[in-house]
Amino acid sequence: MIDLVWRFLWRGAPMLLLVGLLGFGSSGVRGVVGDIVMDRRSTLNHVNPVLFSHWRHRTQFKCYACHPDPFEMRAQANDISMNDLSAGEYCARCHNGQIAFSVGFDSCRTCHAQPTP
Amino acid sequence: MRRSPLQRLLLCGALLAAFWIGGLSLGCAPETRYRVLSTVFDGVPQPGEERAERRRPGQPASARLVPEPPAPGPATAPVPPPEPLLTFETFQSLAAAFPKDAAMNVDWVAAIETGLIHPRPGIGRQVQDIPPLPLDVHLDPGIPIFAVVFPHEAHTRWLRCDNCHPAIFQMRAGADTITMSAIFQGEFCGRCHGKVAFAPETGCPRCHVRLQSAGQ
Repeated sequence: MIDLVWRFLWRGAPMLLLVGLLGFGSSGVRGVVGDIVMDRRSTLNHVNPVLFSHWRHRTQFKCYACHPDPFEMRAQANDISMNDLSAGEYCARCHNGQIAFSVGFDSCRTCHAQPTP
Repeated sequence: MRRSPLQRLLLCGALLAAFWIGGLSLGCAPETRYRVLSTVFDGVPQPGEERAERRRPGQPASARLVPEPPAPGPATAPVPPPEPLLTFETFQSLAAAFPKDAAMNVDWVAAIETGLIHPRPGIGRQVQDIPPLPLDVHLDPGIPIFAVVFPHEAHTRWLRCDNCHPAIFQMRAGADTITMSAIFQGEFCGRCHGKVAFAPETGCPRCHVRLQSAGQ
């Protein structure tokens, strides 16, 4: 019996250590990331869904910079289309080329970044 | 390599103990970790102490990331250059630099309190920053151990009154029937918690404050 345990532990120790270290390294981030995927129209129109990096915006702005105006603070409550952005609404209030990068054909992938399943 | 049965037994024990302590110190909740580690080792920091130390402003880890304040320029330059923004490529790099709560969630409130980030209230001058509101709301779910304290102060560092009132919460304690199942379905606290703030299932004692003292 002790021989079996010995064999398992002593021979398997380096492997266990490796697995443990790998597991710890990859699970360095726990909890809520805060990325928001928007796919009301994207997949229907054959582009990648929008990956909105909430945490990235949050390092620069408090909640009330964007909530409740122009974005209602509820999932699926905001019907955002590219036409709205062209009219300067929603994201385009800042993403206009002056405050932040503009919405255009050179920046599609910056927001339409969520890989399709 | 041959070893006597006694040597093998001792080595097995040592290895098992090493795995056990290693797993504990990496994987368990701080309260459990403290309880077990303090029976084996001396000088284990209490969970509270560890957390307070993490939150202390001016620690080397955050000091490295907070941009240096601009050096006082010559008298001919009255307008200081705008503060460089703290940016991160990935959430992993942000999580490594930010303060964490007991469950290793990124503690966004502590990030403001320690001065690590200075999120702005909006674009332009028409948006007013609001001061934190030092008002704790005590909610009574009927079972004393689950009593909830809602800190307005932490929330108003990020949010403004009209973010939550009156659409999500009526402005009268006890006016809304807040249940955990509603929260898990994304209502009430669940509008943010679990989506962009710490998930309810990872931070029970942060709201049910008596569980905190029970665990220590």
